[in-house]
Amino acid sequence: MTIRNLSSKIRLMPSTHSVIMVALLLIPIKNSNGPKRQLDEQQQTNQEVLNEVLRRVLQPLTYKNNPSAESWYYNVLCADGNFRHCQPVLAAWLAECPEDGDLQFLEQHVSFWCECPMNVLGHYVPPDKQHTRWNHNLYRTLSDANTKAGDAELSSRHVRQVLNVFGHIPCIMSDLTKPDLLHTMQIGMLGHLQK
Amino acid sequence: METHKWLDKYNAIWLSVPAYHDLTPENKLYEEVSQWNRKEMKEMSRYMLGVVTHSLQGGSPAQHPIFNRAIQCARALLEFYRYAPYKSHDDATLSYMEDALRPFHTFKDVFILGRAGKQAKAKANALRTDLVKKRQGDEETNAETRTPSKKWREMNAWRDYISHEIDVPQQPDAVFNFPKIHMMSHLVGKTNPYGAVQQYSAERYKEAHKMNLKDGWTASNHNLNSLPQVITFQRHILCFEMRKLNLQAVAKRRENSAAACNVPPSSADLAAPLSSRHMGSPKSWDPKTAVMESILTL
Repeated sequence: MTIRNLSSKIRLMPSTHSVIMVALLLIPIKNSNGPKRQLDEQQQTNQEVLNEVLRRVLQPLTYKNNPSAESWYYNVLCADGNFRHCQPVLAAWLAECPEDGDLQFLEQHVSFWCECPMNVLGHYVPPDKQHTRWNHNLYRTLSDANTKAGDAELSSRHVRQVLNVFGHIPCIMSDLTKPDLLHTMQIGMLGHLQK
Repeated sequence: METHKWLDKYNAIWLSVPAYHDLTPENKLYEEVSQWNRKEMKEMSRYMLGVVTHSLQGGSPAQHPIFNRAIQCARALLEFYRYAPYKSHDDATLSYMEDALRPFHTFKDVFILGRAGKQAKAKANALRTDLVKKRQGDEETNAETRTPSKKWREMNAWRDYISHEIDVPQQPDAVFNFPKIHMMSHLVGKTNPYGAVQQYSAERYKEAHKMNLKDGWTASNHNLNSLPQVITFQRHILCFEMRKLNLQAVAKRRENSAAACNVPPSSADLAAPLSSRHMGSPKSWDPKTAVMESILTL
């Protein structure tokens, strides 16, 4: 975890302790040679563990524990002993593509920034003709409705039906994932170019 | 390179890149590097275009357009990459990124063999085996009637024919539809609302893995209750550093107040009766002593 309003120079410096570990995820079993059913079960378990860890970390910020969060502010105890109205905003999530998909509960091999069809992911898209962004409010409504039509709609959009903790805190989930230079360009595309 | 049997030349040029200033090229063959890290990727991006361009010099006339497309594609991708980590962007740099991305998508088809799936590769290998057998049969049949130069020309023609034939069945299975290539088209659009991309790079978080996790694990007792120790290890270090900064601030404040007390007396003070003056010089103040005192009082 880090704080957004630090300058990037300070945040990217290891000696400044700008990144703090708040939780430790269990290390999943890596057995890619097993049967497909076992791998799917393991993947499902990993996603549930991630969701549960995030739920426990973010629980103090949920609407249930903080009714004032509906108005996007919290009463925060500050270092001088006074309570203040603060507006903490969960702003970014940096990870590889599969983890970003897990965060937004999307299926694998889809773009996690827009509803780009899977068969045109490799095409050039100009900035003014980008596809529509993921509408998580709509997906939450469809998931809560629990109808066949809603389930079919979610499946057609490659969205999984899982309880998501980010739906219970004040944040815009589609804005959470940010462009990650390391995984997109350095290890990602340059790695593909080398191969 | 491997498809056109030019990997040896590529490796030789790869190894011949000299070290210069802050550039440290790889001292291993390209194939021997099993995993590339961030720093190696950054350095490699500085000289890779030169290596690729120099490696693809020459070749048969049928290979020239393929090699030119490969060079242009690599150039466009590396150009895009060199612009992406800028600490600040304006409209001009963003337009340069867009201009680099467009030719990359135009010429990327030249690398379609690298994206071939397992089934397509198996089909291509089977077809290659058949064609090579056919070529060998043709050579044996006409071995006595052909001169060495004609044999050489026939060999080159067969090689180009085989390369062309095995490209065809791989193409339907080999596509570029994977998320990372699509994410590049969002980098420019995301820079406007959220700022330069470099501040969102996960490099720092990868490095924090060693400091937060591995160092904590080394310092723990490796028993069943080691996980809480790992989690609190970095927090303890942070607390000590914060305490140290607080003490330094206290010491600095006392130093400033002591300096204020050391102001030389004015002539009016000296003219005043001795009994009304402050007797004795102010106690000399030592920052180290102040820090120790503040530690004892806290």
